[in-house]
Amino acid sequence: MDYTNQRPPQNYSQMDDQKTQDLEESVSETIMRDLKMIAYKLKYVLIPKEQEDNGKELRNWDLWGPLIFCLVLAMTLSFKAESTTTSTKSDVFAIIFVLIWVGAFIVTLNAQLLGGKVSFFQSVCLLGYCVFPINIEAIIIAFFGSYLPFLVKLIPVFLCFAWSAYSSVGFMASLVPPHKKKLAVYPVFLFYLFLSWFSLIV
Amino acid sequence: MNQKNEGVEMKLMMEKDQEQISQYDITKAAHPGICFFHIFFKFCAFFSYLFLGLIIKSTLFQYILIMIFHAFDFYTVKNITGKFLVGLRWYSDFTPKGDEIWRFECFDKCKRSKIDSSVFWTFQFGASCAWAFFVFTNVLSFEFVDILFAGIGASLSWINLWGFYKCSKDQQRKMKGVQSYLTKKGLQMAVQS
Repeated sequence: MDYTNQRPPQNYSQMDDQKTQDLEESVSETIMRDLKMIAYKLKYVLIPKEQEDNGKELRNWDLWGPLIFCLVLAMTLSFKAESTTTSTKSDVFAIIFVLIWVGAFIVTLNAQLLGGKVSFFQSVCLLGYCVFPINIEAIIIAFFGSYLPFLVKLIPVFLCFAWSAYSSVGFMASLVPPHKKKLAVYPVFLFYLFLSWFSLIV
Repeated sequence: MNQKNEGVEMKLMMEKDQEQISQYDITKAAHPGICFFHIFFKFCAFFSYLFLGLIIKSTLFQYILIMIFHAFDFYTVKNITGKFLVGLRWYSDFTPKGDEIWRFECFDKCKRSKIDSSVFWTFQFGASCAWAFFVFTNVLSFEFVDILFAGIGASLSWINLWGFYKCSKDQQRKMKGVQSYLTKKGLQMAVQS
């Protein structure tokens, strides 16, 4: 790993000019810029038509998007959880939180061990952004769940799970050798399946 | 003579003490607002971890608030206070080949004072040690949630500390590099003349 801060050659990343401008930004500009980047990356990850460059944008990973979605999901599910005792709600929050981060870590580790050449944070970033459809589904069920029969509730759950899985599998599969694709993709399916199911039954 | 010497010594000691205290006088810092926020989010995180249970009965809201304060503290230190208070920045970048590298940069253009940097380093280091202490004490109590939040606080603080430490080491290396270059040049000129 290269720790120098010598001026890189001109054909280095195009971000260099932008980064020198960042130094003089005010605080509000920094925050707005980061928020816009999160929104842009979300669109990029979830709407495959937006990608013209095969996932290169993901190299500017950030973990703030995943943190926000993780917090929103955990809050949605814990507000909705049955409060037989006050400890249940906070348990759900802690469970979801740990589940998302540890699950993303394990799935990434699995992909790396299978020979995938992917940066650890890039993959966690991707998995975190793909949690967004599960967020949508959790909010729908939280608001309308009590009015709908169980089978009807399954429809948004399944659709959002398919959306998450499809968005993330595209990236993950491209990172590992072809004969190991299914091994890398299977934990991703499991991860989102568990999250969707959890948000349905809580 | 002796008494006069002692008087001078006492005066010097008192001046030194005052200087040390005024090192933390935020009102004289170059960026007082930013110093305040640097301390404020850390304080909120510690306060909510230790005492929020006495104010808000719902444990869920306690957890949410602690997580939010951790996140705000990390974001503020990494992106805002590091840049304005000590002129350092660290982030990950990628080469054209797609490999990831970490950049640690320092820059001298923004105005900052010794007060800014002492506030920055003291509170960052102090908070990191305090969270590590909480993790250690909570591990013995087997209270998983406490370990979780103290652990998150500790890891975020230490990550920031490590990143900025690497930046400042780079800064020192750059200074030494400049010095050795200048001495080499000086020697060359001396030899030529």
